[in-house]
Amino acid sequence: MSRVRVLLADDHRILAEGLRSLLVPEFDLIGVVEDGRAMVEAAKALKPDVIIADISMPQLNGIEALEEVRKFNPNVRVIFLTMHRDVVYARRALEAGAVGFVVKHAALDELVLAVRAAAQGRIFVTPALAGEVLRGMKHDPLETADPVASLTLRQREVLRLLVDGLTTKEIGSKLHISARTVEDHKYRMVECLGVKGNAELIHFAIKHGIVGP
Amino acid sequence: MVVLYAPFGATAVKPKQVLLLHSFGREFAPYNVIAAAFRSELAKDSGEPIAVYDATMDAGQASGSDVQEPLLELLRRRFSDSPPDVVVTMGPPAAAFYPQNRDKVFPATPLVITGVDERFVLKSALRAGDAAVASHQSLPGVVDNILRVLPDTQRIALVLGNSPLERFWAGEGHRQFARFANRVSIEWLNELSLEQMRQRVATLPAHSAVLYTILLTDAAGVPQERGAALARLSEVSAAPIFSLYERELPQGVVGSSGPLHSQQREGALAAAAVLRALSRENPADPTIQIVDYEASVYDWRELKRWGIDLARLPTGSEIRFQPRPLWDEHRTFIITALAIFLLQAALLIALVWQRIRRRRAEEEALALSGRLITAHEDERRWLARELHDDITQRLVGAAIDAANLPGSDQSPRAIDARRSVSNTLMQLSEDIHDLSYQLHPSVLHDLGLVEALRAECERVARSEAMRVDVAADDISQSLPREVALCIYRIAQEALRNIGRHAKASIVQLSLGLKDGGLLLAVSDNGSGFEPGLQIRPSLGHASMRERIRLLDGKLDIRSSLGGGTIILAWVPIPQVAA
Repeated sequence: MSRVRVLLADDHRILAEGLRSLLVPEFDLIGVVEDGRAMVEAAKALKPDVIIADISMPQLNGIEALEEVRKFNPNVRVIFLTMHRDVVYARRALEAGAVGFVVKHAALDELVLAVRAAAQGRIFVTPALAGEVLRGMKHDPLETADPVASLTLRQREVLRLLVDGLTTKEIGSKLHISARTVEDHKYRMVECLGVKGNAELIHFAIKHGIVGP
Repeated sequence: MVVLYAPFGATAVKPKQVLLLHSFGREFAPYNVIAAAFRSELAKDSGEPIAVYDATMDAGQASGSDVQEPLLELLRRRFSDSPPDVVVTMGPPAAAFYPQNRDKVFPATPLVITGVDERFVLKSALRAGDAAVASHQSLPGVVDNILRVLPDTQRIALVLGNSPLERFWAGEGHRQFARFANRVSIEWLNELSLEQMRQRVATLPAHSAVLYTILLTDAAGVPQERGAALARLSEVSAAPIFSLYERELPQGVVGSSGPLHSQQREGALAAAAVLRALSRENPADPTIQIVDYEASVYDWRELKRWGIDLARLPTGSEIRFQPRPLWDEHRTFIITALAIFLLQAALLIALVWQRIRRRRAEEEALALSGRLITAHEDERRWLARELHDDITQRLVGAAIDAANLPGSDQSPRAIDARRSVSNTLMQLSEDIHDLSYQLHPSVLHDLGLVEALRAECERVARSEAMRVDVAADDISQSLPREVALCIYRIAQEALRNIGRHAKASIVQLSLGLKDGGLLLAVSDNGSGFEPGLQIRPSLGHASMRERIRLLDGKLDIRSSLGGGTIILAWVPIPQVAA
C-alpha cells in the first residue's frame, strides 16, 4: 500500500515545521501552503489524498477553501486542524464536508490518527468535542408543520408590534382594537404555539421571520 | 335785571372795596377772561385784603338811564355805609353808562375803565385819579393777517352780531375795510341769525375764510354765548375760521390772527391801575393805557387741515397743539422698551449660544465615546490576533518539537519529562488562546455572527449551568464587521448580566432580520428588575446603549420584577452601494 499523500495548509511556519515532523514518518507530505487560495490551487494541481488545513487563514479561510475544492473534487478529504475548541467550529467544519476535526493542542496525539481515519474513509473528531458535536447535530429540529400558518393575520400584526416595543395599550390604539382584545390575541398565540409569555412570543416572531426582513 | 354779588366776611375787617361793574355778566366771553385775570392779579399783588363786588348791567337787553335806574339805586343802598374805594367798568356798555351816572352814586370814587377799545373811552368823562386800560382793535390788521396766511383768499365772511355795540363795529368795519375793495370781498353776516350763518359758512366757496368777531345778539335778537356759537359754526364751516382771541384756539379756530392784544395782559394792567387808584397814586391827569399787541397764535392741527404753509405765518407766531415728535413724547417709554428688548435679545442670544455650545460639547463627547469604543475594539482585536496567530501557534509548535526531540534520550524518564514540557507548552497555548478569544472572538470572522453567537451561548451554558436556546437562521447577507461585532457584544453583555444577576435557568437568544437591520432578542426567566427602580445605572446597559447609538440602532430593555428580562437590540445594516 502506497503512502498517503498529504497536503498541509497552515499559515504559521513554525507550527507547520512541527507538524511536518509528526507527519513525515508515516505519510508522504507533498506540499505545505500558507493560505486558502494556495490550498485550492495545490489541491487542483497535486491531487492529495488528504488535506490538513487550518481554519483561520489569510485569503480564504479553511472552510471557504474546502467549499472551493469540493467544486472540482467533491470527494476531497479535509481534516481541520485548529486552535479553536469551540464545537461550533467542529460542527461547521463537518457540515462543510470535512472528514476530520482536530484541535492543535491535541495534534501530537490525534493528528496521525485523524489522517489514517481519513485515508480509510472514516471521520475523526477530537474526542473532547465529539459528544457535543453529535448532540448539536441531533438538535436539528424536524419541523412538522409551519407554526406560523396557525396564526391569524391579526395575530401576526399584534406580534409584529409587540416586537416593535409597543405596549398592549399602544398596540390596541394602533390597530383600533381594545387592549383587552390585544391581550386576548396574545393569549391565543401563546396557547396555539405552546410558548410561554411575551418573551417567547418575540423569539418565535424573530425565528420565523414574522418581523419581516 | 340787576344782580349783586357779596363775598363772605366782607364787613368784618373792613377791607378795601372794589365795585366791578360788568356789562353783560361775570361769565360773559370775552370779558370773563379779562375779569378773571384782573381778579387774580389783584389778589396776588395787593398787600391787604380787597373785596371785589360784582354788579351787572343787563346791557344785552336795552340801554338808557331810565332802565338802569334800579341798578343805581341798588348800588347806592349796597354801599350806604361807605362808598367803594374804586369802581371798575368791564366792557363797552359799562364804560359808556357809568361815567354818565357816577355822580348819582359815588361821585368821589376813582374810576378804572377796561374791557373796551380805546374808541369807546370818553376821555372827557375821565377825572383826576381815573384810569383806562383799553385795547386797540385793528380789524384791517386782522384781515391783512388772514390774507398773508392764506394769500389765495378771495372772500372773508365776517361773523358779527346785531346789537347796538355790534352795529358800531359794523360801521367801523365798513369804513376801515374800504381799502380791501379790490383785494378781497368782505361778506357781512350781521344781518343773519346764527342758523343762517351756519348755512352760509357751510356753503362758502373755495378760497374763503371766516372771521369770527363779536356775536352778542344775532339778527334774530337771540343772545348768543360766544363759545357755543363758535362751536356750532366750526362744526359745519367749509372754510377756515379765524378769531380774535387766543382762548378760542381749541374750538376749531385756525388762529387768533393778529394784530391782537392779550386779554390776560389787559386784566393784569387793569388790576395794577386799581391798586394805584387805591393808594391814590394815579396821576392827576387821567391816563389811557393801550395794551400792546401780542404775537399771533395758531392751532397746528387746523393749519394742517387747511394746508397752510407754516412759513407764511407772521414771524414770532406761536404754534400750539403741534404734536411733539414721538421721541419727545415717549422718550422714557421708548428707552425703557428698547432696553428691555435689548436685554431680552442679549439673553436670548446668550441662551442660544450656550445651547449651541452645549450641543457641540455633547456631540464631541458622543463622538469621543464612539472613538473610544472603536479604538478599544481595534486594540483588542490587534492583541487577540497577535496572541492567536503567533504566540499560541508557536507554543504548539514548541510543544510538538519538545515531544519529538530528535536523537534524544529514549529512557522512560526522559520521555515523561519531554511529554511534561510539551503538555505545559500546550496548556500555555490553550490559555493564551482563551485569552485571545476573550479579547476578540475570532469565530466572528471565521464562521460569522450566527456561529459566534452559538459558540458564546454554549460557553455560557457550560459555565453558568443554564439552558441557553439559540434560534438564529443563517444570515445569508454578509454583515459589516461593526454590525456583527455590535450585536455580538450586546449578546455577550446580556448573557453576562443574566449570569451575574438574573438567577435564570433558561435563556433564549434569537437573531433575525427586521426592517433592513438585524434584530437580536435575549430573554431570561430570571428575577428581572423594576425598570424605574434601578438604583445605579447598569454599566452593562450603558455600554449596550452606547454601542447601539454608534450605529443608529435601537435598544429596548423590558423587564418586570420576577418576570424576567428581554433585551431587544436592532442595528441597521448599511446598504453597500452597488
